[in-house]
Amino acid sequence: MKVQRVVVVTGGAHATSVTDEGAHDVPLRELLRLDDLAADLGRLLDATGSVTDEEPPPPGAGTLVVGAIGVLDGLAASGADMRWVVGLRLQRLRAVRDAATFGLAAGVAADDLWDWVQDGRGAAVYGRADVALARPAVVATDLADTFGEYARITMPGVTDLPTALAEYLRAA
Amino acid sequence: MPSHEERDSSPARRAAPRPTPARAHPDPQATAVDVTGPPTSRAHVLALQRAVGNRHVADLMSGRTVQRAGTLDEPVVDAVEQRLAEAVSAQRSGDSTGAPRSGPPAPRAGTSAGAGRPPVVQRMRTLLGALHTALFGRAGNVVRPGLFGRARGPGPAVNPGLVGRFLQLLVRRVRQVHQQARPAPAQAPAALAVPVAPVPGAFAAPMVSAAIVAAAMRWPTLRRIATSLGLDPAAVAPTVASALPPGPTGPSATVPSATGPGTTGPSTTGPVGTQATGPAPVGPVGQPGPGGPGGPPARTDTLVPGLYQSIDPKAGLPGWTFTDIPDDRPDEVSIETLVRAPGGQAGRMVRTYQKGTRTLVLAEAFLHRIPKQDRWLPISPPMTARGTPLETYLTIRAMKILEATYGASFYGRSRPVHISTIINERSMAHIGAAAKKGVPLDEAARTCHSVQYATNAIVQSGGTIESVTFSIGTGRWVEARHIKDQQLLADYQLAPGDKVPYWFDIDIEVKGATTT
Repeated sequence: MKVQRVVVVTGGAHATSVTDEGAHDVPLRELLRLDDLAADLGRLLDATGSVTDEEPPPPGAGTLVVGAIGVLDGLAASGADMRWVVGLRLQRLRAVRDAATFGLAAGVAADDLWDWVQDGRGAAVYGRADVALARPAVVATDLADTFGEYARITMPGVTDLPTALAEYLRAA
Repeated sequence: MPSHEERDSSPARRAAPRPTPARAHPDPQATAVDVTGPPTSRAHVLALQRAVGNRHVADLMSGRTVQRAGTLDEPVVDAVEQRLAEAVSAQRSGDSTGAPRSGPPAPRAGTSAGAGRPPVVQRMRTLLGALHTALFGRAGNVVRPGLFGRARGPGPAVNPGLVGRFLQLLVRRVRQVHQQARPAPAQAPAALAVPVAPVPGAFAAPMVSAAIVAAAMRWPTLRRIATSLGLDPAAVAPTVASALPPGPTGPSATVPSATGPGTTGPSTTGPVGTQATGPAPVGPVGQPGPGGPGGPPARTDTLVPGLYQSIDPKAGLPGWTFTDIPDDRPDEVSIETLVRAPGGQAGRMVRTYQKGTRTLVLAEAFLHRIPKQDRWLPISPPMTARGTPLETYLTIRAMKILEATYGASFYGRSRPVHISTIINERSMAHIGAAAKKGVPLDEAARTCHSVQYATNAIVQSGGTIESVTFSIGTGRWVEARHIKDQQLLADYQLAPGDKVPYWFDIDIEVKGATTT
């Protein structure tokens, strides 16, 4: 797929961070480094990357929309082309099934996203196992990481999430 | 107990009264003697001797006459012994007043006061005697009825020594745990601080007593004794949990199990900013839990009053960071909680509330990166003797958020709980083994690890398990060879080709105190 625009949709969500100093709200955009994610994906895909707190643009025709499960629900309900949608922060045990059920371009599990946010790692995507990637890839065969045509995919030598996601999307 | 009597038969020694602490020769003729001030007579000296042995020093120093045994402070003993040595030295030198000599103090009683014995040997005897006393104690003197009235004689040890103290601490600790492990009649026992009874003169703090008990539990014999008392050795000494052999229960650290019901209840406002914490009390003995195979007890079948109410999602814990992210969908809302331990390790948990059916779904929990010892939270009141399991704490936090923000109501209510997409290997093996034996799947599910794991939040939210239903759902039966932990196959006597459920669901009907 030729991606020309990457739009990461926050949905205006906030998180609550609680420490012994108290509780305070943190925008999810800031907590998950979504601006960095959009910028990295845009750079790697040779596209423009942006973040929006508003309604997502229609996916397709070069526009890749990235969002959490709530965003996916809305897009699916509106009949959007989910093949141009990347699911973000999917529950680990449901990531492959959600990706398959929605028919997503790719899915990113919450564990991997947090690994990238915290340590710059998280290089794993859930995508179609039949995609011919440009570099060697490991397609999971575990029952927990496969469902239908989708599976968890990692690439030796790729250590960060944006790179793994971009590699897969270029080949998809 | 070795006598400190000198065996030197030199005339000087024979003439002088021998310093004999501890079990001094009882003198039925002894009467109350004012022993304050410098020794002035043989009777005075003898009284001092008995005082050292009888631990009457407090009486002495306060000016009271010697009457009966009491407790003893070591520095005071030293002072009295010093005075005794001075008296002995004075008498030996012919000083009739017995007044202490000026100049360097005389050698202490029991040391090289006697002539003819090398000082090194004398010191060795003293050290050995002191060591013996330290280990085995020293008997005190008690007033006993005698033929001619009350007299003093060797009595029970008031200084039991380290060995005696160890045994006393062990017995007391075992009794405490056993006492509190008894089923609570109506109310759950209140959390108690570690009430290790102090041994007279003992310096050990409760942590030392726990360490002593922990060390004791390493001995198979003592562990069997604890077990015969109906105690879980790990409960008696949770610090040695890792040293115990693995048991048949305990979560697999490799696979999360979504468990745990939720309950509705009154939201309580806890302390602003910080969760109430407290020492881990000696609480009810529970069953092994998320500490891992053979880990410390992490669940109890008893509601701990105030535990659910005390957990405040907006209150933090020292060193911990909790980040809650809600995902509000049309039919359900999920609370994803990212937790960071004081050591920097991170974990995740997701709890979902299905709006239509008012079901709490235990979706997933990944806490294995957090060290086991950190997965016990010292909140107050604690759930078990070791504290409150992190998973239980996080589940209740999520339930509180759902109650406060999304209209859920759990505490004390009858409600369904759904454990979804179970791929916990231990649960898989358990149910597979039960199915192999023809045990009904619902019955097998009731005793599987996932349900046991869920029991914590169920019980602490004022509920009891009324029924458990197994469902393969969107999962499937797979061969046991797919279980990564092959030891489980041996534990559950499964052949690689036997079938075990994978990605299955369990539905729990929870009965609460109220019905809606």
